[in-house]
Amino acid sequence: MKNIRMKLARVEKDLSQEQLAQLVGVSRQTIGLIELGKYNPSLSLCVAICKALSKTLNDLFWEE
Amino acid sequence: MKWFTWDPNQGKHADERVVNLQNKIYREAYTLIMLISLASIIVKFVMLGKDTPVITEIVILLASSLYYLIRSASLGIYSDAVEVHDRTSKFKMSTKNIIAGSALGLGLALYFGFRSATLYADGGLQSLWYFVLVAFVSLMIYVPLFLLLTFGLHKAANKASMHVNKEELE
Repeated sequence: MKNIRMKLARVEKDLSQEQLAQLVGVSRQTIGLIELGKYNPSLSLCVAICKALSKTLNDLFWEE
Repeated sequence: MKWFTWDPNQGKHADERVVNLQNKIYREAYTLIMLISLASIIVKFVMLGKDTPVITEIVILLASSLYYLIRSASLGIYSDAVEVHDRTSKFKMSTKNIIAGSALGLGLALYFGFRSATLYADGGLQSLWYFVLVAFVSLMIYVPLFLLLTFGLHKAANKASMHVNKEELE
């Protein structure tokens, strides 16, 4: 399932996939695949993404 | 390549901590096999002389490296690893490959030059002439060859990996 909330949060912060990837120390492809729902990130990567986007785990990764 | 990664717990919920640690052990085992193969070549040369066949060790070293290169390119992680490496490292992966290829070619050329000078020349100017001649010709042959093997393979794998990534994101 696509992670639209993460993509929106990234756009809100005015960050490209490349810039977010640099902030959390992964490749741009990894960010792209997480947003497409094709890769399940580890908890530590989720936390790093949340910190970079100033969001909580609930905001970005909790499925209702 | 499912026949390479057979898992007795397939279908059941695997414990990711166990899987991660198993992968760590596999990585260590791979390094160990590489070191043992290298040590075997060195020991054979020292104990049995340079005419000892070491084809098995060479096959182990080259086949596993080539397998990793092909698999990482076909899964699209090769270019990702290069991207992360280039972001954090002082020298780009391409630069490192050019340096490694040139150094290997140069090293081999100097070795052949010294070998010719010591084995076939009568000393003095002839030794110097043999060294320069053989080293120069070897340089012309081996530097491009090793550059092709390191830099050329790196570029090809990176391009293939980026193509896979592009398709995956579409």
